Amino acid sequence: MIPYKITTTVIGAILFLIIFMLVRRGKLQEKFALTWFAIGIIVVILGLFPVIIDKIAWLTGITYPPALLFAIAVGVLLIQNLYLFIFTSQNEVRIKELLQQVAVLNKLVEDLRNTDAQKPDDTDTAH
Amino acid sequence: MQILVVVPVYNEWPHLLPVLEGLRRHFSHILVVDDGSDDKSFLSHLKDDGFEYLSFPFNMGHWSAIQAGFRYALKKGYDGVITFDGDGQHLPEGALRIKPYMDQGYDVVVGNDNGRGTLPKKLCWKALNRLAGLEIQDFTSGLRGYSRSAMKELICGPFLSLHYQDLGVLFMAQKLGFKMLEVPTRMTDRVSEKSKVFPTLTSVISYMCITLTFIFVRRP
Repeated sequence: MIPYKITTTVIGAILFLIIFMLVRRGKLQEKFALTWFAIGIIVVILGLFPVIIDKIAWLTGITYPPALLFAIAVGVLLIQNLYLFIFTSQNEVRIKELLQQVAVLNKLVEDLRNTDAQKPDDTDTAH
Repeated sequence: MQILVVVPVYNEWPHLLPVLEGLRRHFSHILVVDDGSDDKSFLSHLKDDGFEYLSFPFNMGHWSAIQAGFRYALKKGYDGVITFDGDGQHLPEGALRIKPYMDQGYDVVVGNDNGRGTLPKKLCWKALNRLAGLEIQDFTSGLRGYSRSAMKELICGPFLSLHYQDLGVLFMAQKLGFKMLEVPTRMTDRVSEKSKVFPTLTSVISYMCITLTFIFVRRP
């Protein structure tokens, strides 16, 4: 049986690598990658030294250390998720505005093109 | 006073043409806004018949289509817009009843029809109306007139996050202090049996929830 420290370190390292690759390939924008990198680094550190959680739990008076770990994890994920929702709402408003502008501009361009096409005809009929 | 009639449409081509022909007898400026209909071929028919139109590449919602109409009207210098559903529910006479009040300087004029809808639906709407503290009774009506100054406000900021042209629009317009009026009009049943906004019961429930959240968040 291998020591549990190795298991946690490997899991942390894999997560970090995935984030790293995603950023590298441009699938994840740098501005979002920042928080994910922070999460990755924390996971690696906690994987290397799981004792940290026990220490913090002892300091904060939590008798069952894994509970602290889960509470932090849920909190971080919640905040990330909320941020995503805000971001999507914002994007939808932007898309709507752009779509409306494009539709109107398309129409105006079409109108201009039509009047341009008609001009030579007008001069012809005038003759 | 130059008025543009904006007709938002989404997949209702077969019923659209008679509606537009009826409108053309009374109004010379009509703009069809295609809200990303699946079949785009009807646009060329519209072109042949001399109707102006805007087209979205994908579906973005009834209210968004109307806002595009507002933007076009503002760019072209119209003094007001009347929104008119393309499903045959509204009659040109209704739009004609709205017009004089727009000339009188009202910012938002709603054409209502109290005869519409089933009793449970009516009760629901009444409850929502009470909760929101709205002066306008029939907030589901899509037959409305908007002044130029109202349109300028209604295309920006918080109005962009709305999905329906209904309570939300009226609620926020009322808060902005626009002069609003309700005019009784007569409407017929839709040519297509199903409502575009509420095709199923779940859509009604989801609408109720969204609107309740809206009221809950914005009510002072």
